Amino acid sequence: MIEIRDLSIRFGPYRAVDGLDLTVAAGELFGFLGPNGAGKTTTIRALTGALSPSSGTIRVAGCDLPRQFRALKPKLGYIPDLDTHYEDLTGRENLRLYARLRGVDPDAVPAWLAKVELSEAADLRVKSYSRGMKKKLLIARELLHAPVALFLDEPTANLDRHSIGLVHGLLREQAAAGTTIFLTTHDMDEVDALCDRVALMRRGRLLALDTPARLVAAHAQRWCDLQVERDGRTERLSVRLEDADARAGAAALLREHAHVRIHTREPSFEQAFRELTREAAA
Amino acid sequence: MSRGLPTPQRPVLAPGRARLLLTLFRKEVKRLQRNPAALMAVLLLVLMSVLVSIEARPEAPSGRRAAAQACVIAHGPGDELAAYLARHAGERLPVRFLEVPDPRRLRYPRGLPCAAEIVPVASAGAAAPERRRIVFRYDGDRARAERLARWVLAGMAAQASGASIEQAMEPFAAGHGLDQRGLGQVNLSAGKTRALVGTVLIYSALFFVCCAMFISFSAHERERGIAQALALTPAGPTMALFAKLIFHLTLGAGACAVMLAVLAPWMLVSPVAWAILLTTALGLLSVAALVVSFTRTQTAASLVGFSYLMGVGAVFALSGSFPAFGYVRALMFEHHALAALAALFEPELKASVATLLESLLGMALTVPMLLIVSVLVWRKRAWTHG
Repeated sequence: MIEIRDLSIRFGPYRAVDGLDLTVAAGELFGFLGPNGAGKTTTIRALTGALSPSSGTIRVAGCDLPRQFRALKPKLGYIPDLDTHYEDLTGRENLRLYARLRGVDPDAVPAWLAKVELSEAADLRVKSYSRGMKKKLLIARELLHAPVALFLDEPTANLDRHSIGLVHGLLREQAAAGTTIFLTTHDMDEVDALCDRVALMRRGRLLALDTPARLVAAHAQRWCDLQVERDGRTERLSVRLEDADARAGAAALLREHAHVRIHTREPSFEQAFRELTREAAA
Repeated sequence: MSRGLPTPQRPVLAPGRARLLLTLFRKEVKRLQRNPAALMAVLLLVLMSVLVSIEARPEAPSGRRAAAQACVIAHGPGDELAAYLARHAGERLPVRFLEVPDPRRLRYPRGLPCAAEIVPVASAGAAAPERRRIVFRYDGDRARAERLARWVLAGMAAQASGASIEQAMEPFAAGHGLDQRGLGQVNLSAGKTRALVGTVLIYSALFFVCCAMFISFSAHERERGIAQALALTPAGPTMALFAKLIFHLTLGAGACAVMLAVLAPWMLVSPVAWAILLTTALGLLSVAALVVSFTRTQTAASLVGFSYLMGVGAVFALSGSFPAFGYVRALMFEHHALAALAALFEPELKASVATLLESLLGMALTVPMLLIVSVLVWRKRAWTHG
């Protein structure tokens, strides 16, 4: 569905994206991660036709970009990290506008409003919506026309736990229906919970590409957090369980002093992410 | 969480261009409805033209009041012709005599129907016959000034002084109703002044609707990423621009129609007037589209739009003193648009046909080029965010 070959995007001497190779299958939920300045948004802008690559090729749904962008764009959905609504119009009017522009029956709008739990606020102007409501409206708007590829930038920022669950459900449903979902986020729990595969970028280059589980297994470590009483004071200590010496030291400490609390941390995707970006920086 | 409803709809057919344009046009209408401040500003300009029209109406040249008012004969000190005419003035043609050091510098009172300026011209030598230059001025009612001219010239013949004269028949200069106290005394019933005020009002309305409002609405869309979202629909940036052009042209034409109905109703049925108004509007829209294309935020766009207005004013002001700016001015559609509008409002349209044709030609050369450039730049730049 998405094929990126040797993609480079330069702004003068600065290489925002440098030799990126990536393939995303149809119906895949793909996470595109990296610290600030890694080139994530630049790549998404190139995938949505807003930027032309300096070199390399991009193919989305069989269309070469930017050459065949006109043919591709009706099949795309893009949810940026800002609210691109007409705030003087109501939620319903915004959805009806985009439905008409995309050749979708506007009668489908009430069902979508219900799906993102905005039926009651449908006839209020968007300027009176909270940021979370605006985000849900945006997601409904970009799913109206059943895009073949959906690009999301921070899809669940500013959403409460309930709404995050709702959005995740919608995205899974879309992926199951064959839509390729390409998302960037800084929420590592979201990546772990949602993504089939993940690409990790740093300074425009691809650091890692795999499933979240394999990346965790390869790069995250188990830790044990200890609290012990020593000389009337509580001391805190974190021990890496893969390190035999550290394990032995912790055991000795527990034998000698009264422990208050022992807590083991299972490896998480966030740890794997930190480890990978730390290794790359070193 | 998700209820499994509704099934997303893949569009069966891409909507046609006419349908897309209509949808985008309706969106612009709705946005205007939800922005009462913009709507009020347009209505205020229309209301100003109504006020100007009311102010001008009581002293219309054909009115009884104008007919009853005396014409003025302005002359220098000790002018024998003026003294002769004063002795023979009758009630059939009421005249007032005004002795001033230099009649050419006289500022006439408002509502004056006609005047004659008698100015002695320096003779070649003492033996040469006395010479005078008499300028007859009128405001709309040229017939009244012609009657005055016949009477003055008859008096001169009867006086048999042997003096030679040069005569001219001219309308009052624009803004002749101004006196030393300033704008508070503008004579709106004077034809030239009405032309000036009408031109300014119509151009201001077009500038507001087609430039300021376009910049404000479109720069907002660009800054908030809405333009980019629209560009990803089948409509695209070009269609969005065309819908905006049609909307602002329609709104501008509507405002102009109301203003013309009160200021100069005969223009409502004049194809030339509409051609000038629509071309002016297109020129202003092209400038606005370029401003939005080159600025990323609404604040920056507003500032650039204001700078554009100041820049045009500066070129106009400097072109009187510096010939280079005169050339620049000749290349600007604003110059041709203002000249064409002023010519349309002239009481003596025949006298301004040459100006009108010249201005139309200037607009025909500049506006299409500007429009093409703005569409190309818009397609490339105006929809991207960040």
